[in-house]
Amino acid sequence: MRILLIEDNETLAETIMDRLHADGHAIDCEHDGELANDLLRHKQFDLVLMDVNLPGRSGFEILRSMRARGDATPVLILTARSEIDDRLIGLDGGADDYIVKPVDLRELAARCRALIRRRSGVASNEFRAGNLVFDRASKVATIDGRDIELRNREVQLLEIFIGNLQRVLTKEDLADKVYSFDEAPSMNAVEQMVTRLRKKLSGGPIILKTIRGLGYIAHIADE
Amino acid sequence: MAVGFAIILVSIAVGIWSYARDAANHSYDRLLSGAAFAILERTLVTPTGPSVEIPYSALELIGLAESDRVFYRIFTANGKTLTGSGNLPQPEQYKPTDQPVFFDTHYSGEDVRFLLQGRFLAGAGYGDWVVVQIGQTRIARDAFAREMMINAIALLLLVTAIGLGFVWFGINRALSPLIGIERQLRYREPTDFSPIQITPPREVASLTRSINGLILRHKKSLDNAQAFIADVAHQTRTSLGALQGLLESASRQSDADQQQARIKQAEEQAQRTIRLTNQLLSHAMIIHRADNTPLARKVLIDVVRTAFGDIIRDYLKYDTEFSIESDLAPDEQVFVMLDEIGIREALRNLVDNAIKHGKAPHKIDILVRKSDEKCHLIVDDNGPGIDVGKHASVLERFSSLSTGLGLAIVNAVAERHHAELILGQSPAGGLRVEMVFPVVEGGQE
Repeated sequence: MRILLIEDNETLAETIMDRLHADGHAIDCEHDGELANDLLRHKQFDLVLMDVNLPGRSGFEILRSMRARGDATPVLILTARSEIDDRLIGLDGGADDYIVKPVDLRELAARCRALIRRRSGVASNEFRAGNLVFDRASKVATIDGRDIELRNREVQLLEIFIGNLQRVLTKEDLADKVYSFDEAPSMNAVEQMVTRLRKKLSGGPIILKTIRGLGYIAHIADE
Repeated sequence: MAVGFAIILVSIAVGIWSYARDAANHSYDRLLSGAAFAILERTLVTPTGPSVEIPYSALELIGLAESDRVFYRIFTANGKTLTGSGNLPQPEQYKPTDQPVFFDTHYSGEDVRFLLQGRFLAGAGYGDWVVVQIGQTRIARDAFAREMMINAIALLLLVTAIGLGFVWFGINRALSPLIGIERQLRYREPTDFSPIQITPPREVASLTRSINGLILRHKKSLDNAQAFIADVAHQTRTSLGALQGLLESASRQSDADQQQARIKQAEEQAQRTIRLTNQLLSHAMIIHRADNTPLARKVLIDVVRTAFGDIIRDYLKYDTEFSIESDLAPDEQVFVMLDEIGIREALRNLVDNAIKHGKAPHKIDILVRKSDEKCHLIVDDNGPGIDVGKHASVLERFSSLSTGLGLAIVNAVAERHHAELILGQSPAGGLRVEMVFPVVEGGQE
């Protein structure tokens, strides 16, 4: 994957680049906000990691102009400000995720993978994570090459979880997306459906975690 | 205020002018009346008709005003002039009467005041009105009115000036205790937090007490900040010192395995330092927000759900079972005055503590309960828990070696919300942290 890192602290930038290189990504690094903004106008990336406080142009400004151009590249904000207000501005402004400095590189790598995966396969129709391969076109998911035989609704559910990795989804969210308006499913039906999908996914890297009273969160086990 | 005062002065001046003019008219009109009366007394009926003999004294009376000119005419009801200037102006529709009639007009190039007064003469088959008209220019009476007015206004200004003087004196006297306070505050050193002296009168004592209260609060806040900075300095230096020591030691190791071990330790130490720094900043933020950000009326369970969902994302790699439960009806909304960020930080620190101090698999359960006029937020974990004897001390900053700042942050958040903080044992044998919030009136958001 091609990643753009916009970070003015060179030491931090180097360590992040080392780590993401190790994961097999191609990384460009830009230290200046203005230059990064120009670069983004001309080149397409699969993911943008950006600091908020940048010389030249702030991360929020870069993000706003990206979204104003219709550039939907996933953006992960690195911020040193821990107050949530700022994060929300970022998320409302179209950021896909944020992580607070000092960053744990393992955590950062996991977030990057999740963001890339949310979109991966949308173009190629194929989502891969560890031993799991999911073909969106034929709606077939395999673990270690073995078809796990998903039903229609389970395919939809899997797509939703993949599109929202590391985000909490309530049962209502899932019901809204999987069922049509007049089917009016019971929350029990949703639970059973998730349970079935989880069973079929066992042995694979996708973990569907239940948070009682809140909903579900899907993540990919550390590779 | 000055404009208002000027308007009042002008209206008083107008009033005085009209009064002075009336007074002048009154005095001089008497002279005219006297003269007219004297003339009318000397009118009589002769066989040839009415005749008049003007007494010299009458005109002399009017002539007392040296600069004024006098006009007169004596005529009968049918307009026949007996003597005097025949062309004097007359008021409209004048009917002879024995009452004096005064009027002002412009005549012969000057303002003139005229008097008309009649007398009915009867005798020897004759009966008719004889009217005396006397006019006098207004020079003397206007001068009189002006003089009166100037004197009156001069007096008015004098009284006003004296009054203002009294007001100024009174205000100064009344404010002098404030000036004393001002002087005490102005020459105060920034480091001086002693209370200012209370001086009479009583009215100012409560102000002085308020200022002293403010000084005290500032002192407390500054003391807190200083203690906190000292804590921070000590903790971060120690932590960074340890980190540097480990790295130095690693770079001196010739044995590759030993070096790896040191680097591993350094990494762990760096993580502890990061956690400590985050907690210090979080604590500082909570304290800062308590001084700056007002609480907002929110539904506690909603805020907790949002915050919890966000926090969980950071702990997915740990084997943890999370849950939220509430004994409220699904549509029951219980409002509490909240700082959303404070609640989030408290929850984050409780989750962090549970995972750092407990052993996998972790279990973190949140309960939101309502009991009369109170809303309880309970966080249970399955960690080692805290001995009852240490409950009070762990809430203080850096009190214990291992807990760090987590519970101190929770304590600061509870204080900020006027919530009661209760530590106890969870059903799983771990720590239970319960915050009891006062409920505010429901209704529309």
